[in-house]
Amino acid sequence: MSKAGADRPPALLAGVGVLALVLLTLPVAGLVQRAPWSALPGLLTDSTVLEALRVSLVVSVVATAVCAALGVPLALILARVRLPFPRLVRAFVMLPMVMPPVVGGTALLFALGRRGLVGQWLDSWFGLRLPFTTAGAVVAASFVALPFLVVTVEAALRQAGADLEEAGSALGARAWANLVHVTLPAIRPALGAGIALAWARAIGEFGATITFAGNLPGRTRTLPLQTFLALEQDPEAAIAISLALLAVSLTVLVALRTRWTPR
Amino acid sequence: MRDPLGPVPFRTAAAASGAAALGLALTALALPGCGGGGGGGPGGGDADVVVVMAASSLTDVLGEVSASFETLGGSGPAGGPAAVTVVPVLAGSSALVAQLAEGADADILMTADAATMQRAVGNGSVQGEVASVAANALVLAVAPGNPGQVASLEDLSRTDLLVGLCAAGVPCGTLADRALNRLGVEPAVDTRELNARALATKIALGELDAGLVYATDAAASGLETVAASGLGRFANSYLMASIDADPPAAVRVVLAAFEPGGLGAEAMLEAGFGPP
Repeated sequence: MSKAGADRPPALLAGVGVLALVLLTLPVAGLVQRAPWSALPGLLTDSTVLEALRVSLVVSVVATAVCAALGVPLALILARVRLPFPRLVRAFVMLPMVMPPVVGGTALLFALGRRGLVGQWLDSWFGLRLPFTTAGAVVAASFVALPFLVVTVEAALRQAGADLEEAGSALGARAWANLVHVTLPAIRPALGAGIALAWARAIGEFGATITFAGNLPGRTRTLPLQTFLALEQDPEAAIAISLALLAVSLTVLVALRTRWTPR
Repeated sequence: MRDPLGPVPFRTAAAASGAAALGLALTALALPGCGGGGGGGPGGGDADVVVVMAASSLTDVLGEVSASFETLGGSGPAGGPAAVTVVPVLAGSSALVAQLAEGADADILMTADAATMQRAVGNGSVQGEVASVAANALVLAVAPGNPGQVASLEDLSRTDLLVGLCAAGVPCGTLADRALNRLGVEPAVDTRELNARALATKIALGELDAGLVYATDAAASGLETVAASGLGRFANSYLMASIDADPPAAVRVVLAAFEPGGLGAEAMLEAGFGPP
């Protein structure tokens, strides 16, 4: 875009930026430095850890799919439809980001629990119970992760503008064809970033999961829950699991970034 | 008037803004109860601050004890200091022991079982004498109205019920596992909650049909309980110890309050704890 070096920030700002990077990476260094390297393979192939890893992957991947399926249409509404009280609507979309996850989990229990606002009808009409099930863990993870996808995609939709879509319509493209061939390709990098953010939030989710979905091995016990339990009894195992979680997350984030976004 | 309940580290941190203020604060910290500042009303003057790290199941008890010491104010027990301010620090027993090992500042530790206290004594964070102050037995608690029609401990094996226990490794979970094992019940568990209070809350909300909780948590949450023969034998001991081998007078006063007949011991009995 601009000449090399011309848009380089002032030295002071760059220094502060590096400080921010230190703040983000220092805890990882702390974890790595305490890691019981020789015991690592044993700790990580423990059957309870592998079980939690499986639950974590299933829950986070399904939750990310749910976020994409629900979040893109919501982002389209926010970006393209004139809504009543748009600020209020947008505040509600962001709410799970600022709400302590434990509060979110409690709210989910009051809404979708067996005695909850909607949950009591789900139970009596369909025999559907979400708390203490894997589906419940997916709901909890989707609740906290959804805003990350919506906010990212909505911003891209606004930036892309409706011009291309209007041109498409003028050329006779149907609404669906327009969406698939014009809108989505235009926001592809943002969609990738939104999916990566949502997945990252989902796999690290703890508070809403334990509150709404509980903690049962093989069903709702994810890696973060396993880490918390291990921290009480076997700190070395907790460090090992945290490292594994970090490694998996970093790998996926880097892969998604290179796959979806231009460098 | 400064807040007597303000944690000590904050006072130091606030004072760090100026060297002179820091000096004053250090003097005040070094000579508790001797500072100027007038005050004199109950809890308003300079009181000796005693930080009590306690298991979260003691939340209500310590709130009461702290309030009682505040009303006592200057008319503290004979031979004791002018006034004692009890500052509770509440968390799970194992979390507290971990915090102490990492250098947290406290005067007294109260744990919900013997194993966690042993860990603190073992790693040298607790030097004082360990005393047993109370016991907390397990009860079979059921959702309001008992919709699952739970009648006995054996019903915990029913797969049609939503059953919760504390996680293994958390004192209430270790105790529940031992009790069910000895009584020959294999529970069909739907969740292993991370602490005793969270389990009691989910039963009180009706989201779980039944679970094994502490008698005190059942009382605090107003839970319905079902008689379960043999369960009462399984109880955790609540242990208390001063951090220092030779604690100052104010800390001794708080320790003494938990001896039989003391205001702390009375508060524990009222909350549903059993005698040690």
